[in-house]
Amino acid sequence: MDKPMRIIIVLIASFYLLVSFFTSAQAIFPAGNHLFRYIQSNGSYAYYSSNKETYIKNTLPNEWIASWPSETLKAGAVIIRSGVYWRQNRSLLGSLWPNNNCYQTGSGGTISYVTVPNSRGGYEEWLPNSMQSSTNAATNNTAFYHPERVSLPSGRPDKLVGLRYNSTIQNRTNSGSGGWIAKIRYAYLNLGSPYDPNVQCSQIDDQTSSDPLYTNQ
Amino acid sequence: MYRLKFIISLVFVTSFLGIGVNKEIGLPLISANQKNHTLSIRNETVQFALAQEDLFDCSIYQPDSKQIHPLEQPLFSIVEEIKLAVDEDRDYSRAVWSPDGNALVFIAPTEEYREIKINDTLSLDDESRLVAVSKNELILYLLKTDTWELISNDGASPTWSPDSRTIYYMTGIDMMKFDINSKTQTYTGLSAANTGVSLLFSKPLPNGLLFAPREPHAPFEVIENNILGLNQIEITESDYLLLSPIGEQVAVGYGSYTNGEEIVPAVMVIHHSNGEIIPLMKNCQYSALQAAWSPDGNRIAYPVHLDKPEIRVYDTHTKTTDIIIRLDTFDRLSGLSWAPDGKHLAFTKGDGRSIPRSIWVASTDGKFIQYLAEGLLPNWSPDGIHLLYAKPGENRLLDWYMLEMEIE
Repeated sequence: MDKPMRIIIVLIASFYLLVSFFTSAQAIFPAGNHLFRYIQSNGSYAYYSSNKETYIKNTLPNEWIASWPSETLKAGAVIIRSGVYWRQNRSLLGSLWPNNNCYQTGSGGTISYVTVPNSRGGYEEWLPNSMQSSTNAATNNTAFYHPERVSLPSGRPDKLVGLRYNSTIQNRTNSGSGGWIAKIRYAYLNLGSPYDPNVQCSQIDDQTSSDPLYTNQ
Repeated sequence: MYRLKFIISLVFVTSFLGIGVNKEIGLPLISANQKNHTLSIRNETVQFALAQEDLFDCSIYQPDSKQIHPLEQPLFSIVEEIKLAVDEDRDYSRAVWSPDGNALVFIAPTEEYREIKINDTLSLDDESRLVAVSKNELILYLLKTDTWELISNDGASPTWSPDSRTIYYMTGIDMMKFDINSKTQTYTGLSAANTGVSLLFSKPLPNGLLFAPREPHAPFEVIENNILGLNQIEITESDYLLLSPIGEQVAVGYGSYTNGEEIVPAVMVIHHSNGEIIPLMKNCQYSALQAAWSPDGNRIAYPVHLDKPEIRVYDTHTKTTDIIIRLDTFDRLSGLSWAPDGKHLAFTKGDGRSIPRSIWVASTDGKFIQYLAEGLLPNWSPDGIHLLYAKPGENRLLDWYMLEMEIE
């Protein structure tokens, strides 16, 4: 076998090796930045484009409590990330089902996927440049971790799970024991009353299935 | 040799495939050297604040277990609650009372916007970028006649003159004025520098002057009438500023950012026109963005986001802080609004996710508290007996209501 042929074979083998690696991880990472509409205190809307992990860092300290244990903060980071991935992927896919574009607003250059902050009537408390050390560490330590379904439900565009907020989810993750995965399971599955936290955008089967979470990287 | 070729090929393919899988490239806004040079005043202020050993720190503060919950007692009786018949096609986000309490200017953001060019931004955070600011309609509402009138289809930051006859506002970077009697709008001749920071924070003052940067990326100043001490406020899109009602003081929330592996914490500082700088707290950007000046400009109230959340009031004369509320359970406190006499403070409790948000009023001496209504964003009228507030809308973000009250 001559050298060029060997190189081609090596390249093809390398490609399949990499593809199989990513495939086996079963992870879905929506491409691009997170675009969102921020309600300023003066009433105007400001549109921001943010790295998804940076968005989480500027939300976590305002939804969870920065002095809480690190495993609780990690659970918070993963819960926030689940929402970011969910709404961004569905908006990008342009899928009609389920609950597509639930958070989408605007058009053209300012198309965005969530209106923030919650204290001004928006969805969650993203605040510009509010990151803190403990919440940044929790975000970094769970970087890219997010929940997915084990298998693709019929009709879904992807396996992503969008964990929704309710008024008690922060306290629930804090009161659960164990590591961050156990805390998320405790908060969403083990309290006897599966929560439908956001009627408009709810994915009820994610809260009622006995094993909906598949956390991977 | 073949093994080496394999490794080189593998590295090449890995690099090639790696692009576009997960990698996100932050937009370079301004280099580190440029940033440090441009923001030297800001950096000095932040470092001065961080050097205070006893600076209140939200990230480590552990309140004691004692609940501070004033006695529930009627402070106001509700005479009437009216849902305002706003235009169904508009999304009203905020309103500003006239000083005589007879009118409101509502801000209704539209789908139109001003794009922010990358060279016009000044951010500390290379991974987030301001890309656009909405154009807004400004609508005048007269209470006595229950009438609505469009003032501008491109306005922001409306400010009333003390006699309630003129409304100053920004159209982009230009300061305009609307005359209530003649119903005319004219350009004041004052403009801010054309940058993202200007579009976010430029603010007309009640006396017809403009608080804004004169040059791109320059500190904020009172244009045409520079006030000593208020010309050294250098901020970025990562920060936030709040002028006191009489314009003597400015509260600035300097945002946090990463510097290599370390975080430079957010700090909140009060700049006085005499040049004094009062550091208030760090790691409390939620508090800074929710702060509210008392009508006389001597006190500033803010919530602290904790598992036992608090509302605190800082007195700039006595330089003391009072805790007027500390809940015993985790909840969200927000939307603070002072009564015109400075004796009461309305606020929102809750996040509305599974239980509706509620509006409460507390006496600022910390003695009494009263539930007022279901809703958010209370906004006290200068007459002291009307309270504008919002509820989540069915087909839009917010619906607006007016409470008429009597003092008990």
